[in-house]
Amino acid sequence: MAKESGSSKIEMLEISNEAMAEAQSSKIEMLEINNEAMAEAQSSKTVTMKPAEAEESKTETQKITDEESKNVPIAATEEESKKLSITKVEESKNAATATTEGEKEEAKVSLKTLDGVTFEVEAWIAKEMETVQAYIDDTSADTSAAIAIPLHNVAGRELARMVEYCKEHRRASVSAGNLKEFEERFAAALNLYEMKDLIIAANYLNTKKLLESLSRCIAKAIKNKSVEFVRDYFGVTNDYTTEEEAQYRETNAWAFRNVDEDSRN
Amino acid sequence: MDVEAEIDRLPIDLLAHIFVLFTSFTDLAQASGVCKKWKQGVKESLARRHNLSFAGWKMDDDSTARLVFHAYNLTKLEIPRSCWGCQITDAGLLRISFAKCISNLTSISLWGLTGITDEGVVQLISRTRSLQRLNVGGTFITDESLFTIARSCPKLETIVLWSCRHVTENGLFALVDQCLKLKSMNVWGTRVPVECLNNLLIVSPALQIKV
Repeated sequence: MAKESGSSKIEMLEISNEAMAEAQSSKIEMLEINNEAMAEAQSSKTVTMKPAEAEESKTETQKITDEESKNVPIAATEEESKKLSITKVEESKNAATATTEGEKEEAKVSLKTLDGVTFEVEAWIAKEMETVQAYIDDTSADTSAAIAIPLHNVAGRELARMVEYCKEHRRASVSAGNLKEFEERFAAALNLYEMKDLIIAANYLNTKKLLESLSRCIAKAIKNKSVEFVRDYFGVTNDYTTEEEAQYRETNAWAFRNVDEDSRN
Repeated sequence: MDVEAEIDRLPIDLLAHIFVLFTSFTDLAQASGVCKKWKQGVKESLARRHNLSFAGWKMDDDSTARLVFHAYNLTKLEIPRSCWGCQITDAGLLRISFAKCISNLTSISLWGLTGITDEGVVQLISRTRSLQRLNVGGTFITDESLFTIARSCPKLETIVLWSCRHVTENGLFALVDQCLKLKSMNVWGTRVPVECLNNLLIVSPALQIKV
């Protein structure tokens, strides 16, 4: 027991010595800073003061540092203090890089599509997909990072396009002109089948911007088109009977006649 | 064509989301004629709308009532007179008054509907609960309608009685007395004397009267 207590005392002494050494080195740094500041002040403006006035004009912190400087041993040279400051800077840099790397690692979400393809996407992209974000919010942070989130209704091809859309949309959204141009270009690159699959995926994942964009494209394709054209273009089967179709035309006749072009929306 | 790729495999709620973007009733009518599923999509798209305006369309009682019935989330309804002549009557307003959305409407415009009278307006207005803006300019309503408005619309802020030549100071006083939130009143073209309007301002100094 006595040995143990003795050894613990020695450890404590060592710790206190280290702490003192650190404190002394920091005092030296403070002194150097104070000296530099004073030198700058003197070079910029020379003021003649009596020793008593100078003592009074010193701030409390300066007085304290002056008092402490009397107790500092001369063993700590300028070179040593410089080395200390350099190592401290390096340590802080390392710490900063470590945190940013940690953040980068955190900012990835794994998504697994119905055809078994796993995508690693940035957290901000996952946030755009409100269904995915809801899943992340519901489960703990640990599980969402470790396990790939299953997307039962989305194929790899659609998810790849959605990720591409989110990234391009972010780049293009710098200006309204760019954004419009990008959306037109994106829609033009899709055929009807791809657009249908993509809008279903966007609806399932609740990716609002993409959903709105694709909805506008489909609406544009339908506007001012005849029923026959729309059926043919979209490959929709007419399930109305002849009687039902005649009734529909009679019921909606008002929508096709005497449209007042001036005030029509 | 590959069955999986057909656009009619889109769920109805998604079709409705697309049809909400249509501003033309012709486009909506065309879409509802494509197939039964699309017709359902058009109905749902009407249910998602908050504003419905028939400005510029030759509406009749039947078509107007049918559309308003589907649009049960409406807060703003405009049925103004079109260049093609008005075909909305009291019977149409009576049918519209039974629609789900009526109690939630904050704005109604019946501007220039010469085919309606107090009978239809009273039926419609008596079922509103949230009305803030009402335009009955150019109609042949009388004080009877104004008394109903005063009773049924405590939240009313703006009323347009432009050229309503059959309203009198009694109806206007009822409005100012009971519609405590009333801020603006357009009485241009009415036969109400100026002294009466001055008296209204004494009762409600903050009221803006447009003549």
